[in-house]
Amino acid sequence: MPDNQGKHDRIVSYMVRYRLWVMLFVVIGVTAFSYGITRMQTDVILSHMFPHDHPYLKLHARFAQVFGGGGTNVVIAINTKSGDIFNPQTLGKVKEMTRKIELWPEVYRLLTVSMASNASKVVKTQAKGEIVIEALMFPEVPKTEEDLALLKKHVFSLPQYDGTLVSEDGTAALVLTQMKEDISYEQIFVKLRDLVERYSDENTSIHIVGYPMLMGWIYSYKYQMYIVFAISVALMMLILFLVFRNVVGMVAPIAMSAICTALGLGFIGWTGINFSPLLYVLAFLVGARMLSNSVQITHRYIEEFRALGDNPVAAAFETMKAMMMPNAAAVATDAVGFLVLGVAKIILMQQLAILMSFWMVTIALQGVLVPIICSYLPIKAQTFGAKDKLGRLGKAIVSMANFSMGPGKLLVGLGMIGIIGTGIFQITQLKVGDPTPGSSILWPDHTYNQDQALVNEKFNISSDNLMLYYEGAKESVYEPDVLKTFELFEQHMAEELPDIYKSSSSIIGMSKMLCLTFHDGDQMWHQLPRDPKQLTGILGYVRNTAGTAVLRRFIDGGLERTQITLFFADHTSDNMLRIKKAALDFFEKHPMKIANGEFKLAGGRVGMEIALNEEMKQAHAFMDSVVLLSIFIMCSISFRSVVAGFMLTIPLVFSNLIAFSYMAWAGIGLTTSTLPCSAVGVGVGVDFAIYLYSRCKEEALVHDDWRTMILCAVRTTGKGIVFTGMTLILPILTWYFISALKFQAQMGFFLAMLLCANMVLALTLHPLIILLVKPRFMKKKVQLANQEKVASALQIG
Amino acid sequence: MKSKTMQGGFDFLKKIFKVSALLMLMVVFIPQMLSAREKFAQDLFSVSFPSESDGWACGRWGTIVHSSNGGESWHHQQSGIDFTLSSVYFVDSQNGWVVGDGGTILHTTDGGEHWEKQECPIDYFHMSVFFINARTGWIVSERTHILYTENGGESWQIQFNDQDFILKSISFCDEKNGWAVGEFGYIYHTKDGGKHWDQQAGEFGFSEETGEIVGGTFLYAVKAVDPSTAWASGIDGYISRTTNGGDFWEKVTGNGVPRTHIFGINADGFGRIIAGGVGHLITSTDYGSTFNAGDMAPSIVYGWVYGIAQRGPSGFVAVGKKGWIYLSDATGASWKRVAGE
Repeated sequence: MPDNQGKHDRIVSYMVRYRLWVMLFVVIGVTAFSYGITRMQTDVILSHMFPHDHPYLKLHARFAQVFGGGGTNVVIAINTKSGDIFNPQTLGKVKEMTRKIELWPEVYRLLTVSMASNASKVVKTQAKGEIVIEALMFPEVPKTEEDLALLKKHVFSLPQYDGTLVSEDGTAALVLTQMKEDISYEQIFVKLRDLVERYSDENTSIHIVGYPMLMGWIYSYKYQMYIVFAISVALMMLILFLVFRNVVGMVAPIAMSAICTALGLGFIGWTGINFSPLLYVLAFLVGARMLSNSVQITHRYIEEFRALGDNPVAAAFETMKAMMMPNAAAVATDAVGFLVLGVAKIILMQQLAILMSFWMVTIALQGVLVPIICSYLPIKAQTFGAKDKLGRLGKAIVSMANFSMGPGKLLVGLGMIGIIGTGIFQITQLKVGDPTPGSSILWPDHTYNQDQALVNEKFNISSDNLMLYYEGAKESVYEPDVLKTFELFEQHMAEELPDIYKSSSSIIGMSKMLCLTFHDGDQMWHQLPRDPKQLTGILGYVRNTAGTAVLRRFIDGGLERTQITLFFADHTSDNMLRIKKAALDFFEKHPMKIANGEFKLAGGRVGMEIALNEEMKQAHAFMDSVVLLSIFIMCSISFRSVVAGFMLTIPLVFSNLIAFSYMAWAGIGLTTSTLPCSAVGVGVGVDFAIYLYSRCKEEALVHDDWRTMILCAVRTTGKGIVFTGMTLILPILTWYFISALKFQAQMGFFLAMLLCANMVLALTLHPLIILLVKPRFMKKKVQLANQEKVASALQIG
Repeated sequence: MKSKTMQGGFDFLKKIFKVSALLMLMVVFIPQMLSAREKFAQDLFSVSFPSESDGWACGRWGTIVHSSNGGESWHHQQSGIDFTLSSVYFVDSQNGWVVGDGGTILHTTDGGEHWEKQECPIDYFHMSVFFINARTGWIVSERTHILYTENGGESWQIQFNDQDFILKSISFCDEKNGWAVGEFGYIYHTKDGGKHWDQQAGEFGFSEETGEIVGGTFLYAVKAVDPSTAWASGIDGYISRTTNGGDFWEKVTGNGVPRTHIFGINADGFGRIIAGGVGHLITSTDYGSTFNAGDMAPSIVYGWVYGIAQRGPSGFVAVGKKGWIYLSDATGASWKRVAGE
């Protein structure tokens, strides 16, 4: 042990002696890494956000090549403010928009549908009783009153259009399309917004929803995010100025943060890993951690500088010696927190694990670099800021710790019981997935969510779809059993989920339309015939008359695969569970396998979301456990005591209970955007306690009495903890007030709450725990010193 | 004393625990009870009100709904099947029948609490059922079949069959006199309770010159008012009436009747006629001399109504698309929707 201590001191001494070289090495490294920043990619890649290994995703990917995916649907509503859409002007807009969108390279042309597309058919009777399938409104828009009335009649007598391509009240029409998987959401957003501007007028409003549009909106806030970053950084600098009131206090943390930022961003650029804008808040969290660590170390440097009588080299040596290891331990816990994200089988998470853990590791350099940077900066010993104010703060902190260990003991205990009770209840309410019908990323009054509400209200269609696939022998898709099962499945889902089921789309729609026409428009016959012979006859008619292009939405070229798409009102986590349960219940009563093929669940956006939620649920519990375990191990190693591990980890459970209660209460679900924050958040703030415990060990050399020792440690470290905490909490909190992205605001509040909880616990619960446990590891130095004294006394003797 | 205090404290804790458990149960179950949702609204095709208060309607996927308060509110009954049910008829508040696809005939003797399947000699899609009393009734079906029972449906027999057309509707004004109508304008009439059915209208054939089908208008509904008077409705605003027992069916045109499919028609003996179909519901109070659009709230312009029935002197009721149920005022001029999406 003394040998180790000696080796550590020698390394520190070496670094301080050659600090100019160390700095030079750092500057070269930073320059090299900085160049990588220019190579950074900041795209949202859909396939990276879902668990690629999940059977639903594999199924979806396989069938998406045949029928297109469900993940990139865009729904465009053309809404009239007065009257209905059955006038040449509005219908002209539907036609123009459809033609325009069909020609975009980003869309699947076959999957672009509106009442003006060739794929929208109507069955008509002609002379000699002949029945033909014709386009509903293609290529031209009806002009005369008579033609308009006929179109209206067609639309409202056919359930596959009524409420889907045209709203049930006739005041709005839809253009549905599907984007390709590898498009730039930033560019498509510009095109979609252009549609809104071009086709809106005093009587028409355009509303667009769907994943690409949502991503586009998020991109549009990229610059606002930068502004929020800038404001937060400015606020941090202000707090640093108020706390330190000197050059060292301001420049060292900022310079160090800049170095770590350059290294982290450069690493992202050089590795070529994509950095999604959805996760910028995490970058800020890392940035905040950089600042917090450097503030702690700078604070210690100033203390040492004051104690050692204006000697910067000695102060740097002492600071580095004292802070290098605790800093590394604190950083290691957070790095493990990030690294564990990689257990989720989601590419985004795995990439995040690599990027962020590296970035976090760069903070370990601070234990060396901050004292060195400080040693080059001018400092006046007598200008450490408003001493009186700090004195009052120090007194308040000590009083708080004293109260917690004395008369407030019961209060702290009751508080913890309250936190456990409330926390456990709230955690059971925590939703996996998106708990809001629109997008939880944006505020409820955001245009996107308003548009989503309008589409939900007016149409029986949405971008949240579930696809049931059938795959079997060649030409088996036309077997009555297949369509009967589809029809029964659709009916079952409608019956089970009447509040969220909206409509369906499959070859059944056209078959029913034919059956209706064969019976002269009698609505009673808008159904699949029960008689297998009749059904086979109708399916044969569909096959021969509908045209390949139209059928390709539903049936593949080899007639081996077909699908039914069911539309639901939203993708909230509760409803995803209900949809899955209802679908599985159906196949409890009906066979998945039939004579010549098999039904397969579950594709579409709903299938993807279910897969994601399942992966999240599994990963979340595992991640939190691993983070806590790694914190336990790191702390145990750092203090060479299992007791220390427990003492530092258990209070973290309390702070996380508080933070997760907030998530549940505020309706924030665990999604790919929030899970990293919550997983990493588990370990945020543990360093407050680590610094307190380290200080306690040092104070133990001076004070025998536990209570005095703790109070002295709180007196010296408490202010540092509060300064660091405030430097982190206040800038993060600004996100809550100014971010246009709801989830970032909420995550800001979530992290601020975690930090605040850990800060308060470090000054209340931890002193109490130390007093009650009286851990031996804190007195180890004392024992060693005593042993050395005895040994030297014996030698002298 | 001390133990008493402790016991008191323990009792208090027990009470707290019980209250907490109760609250927890309420928190867990009340939202579920509140969210016990109405079923998905299915298309309705027929409605029957044997009295002013009790009514039944039926429709797609085995849907049967019942009202016991004059149609103001409705709740589902279990039919036990998932076929389309096309027609319902109740002779009183206990005894009723529904018929539908797959040869379905269901019967209840307890106001729909239990529905039992009755044996049927054919498995066609039955279109309409009519009972003149609790024992005597008729059903019309595909392939121009008319079924008959005189024992409340314990046994059904084929009373009449003709060509391969669909008969859509049947109505009797008494035990003897009734009409059945269907595709290609076919109207059959009986004056002896169905022992003999005579064709009064309808034609089907191919033009020798053009090869096109030549046929009468598709008729959806018929309502027998008295032995002389009956009303029928069909495609493209076709409404016709007879006032001489069917010797002559007169087309009612150009007086407020829209050119649309008219799925349902009903009439009383006092000159009131209600007809409805795709996007329109029209009423007449002068024996069909003039028709006026019903004042519908909300409008049915983007939907359709199918079955129409009288509910005593209170007015009429119409059912249709996605569970729509409309109630009229006593005159039949003003309508409000009480159910459906």
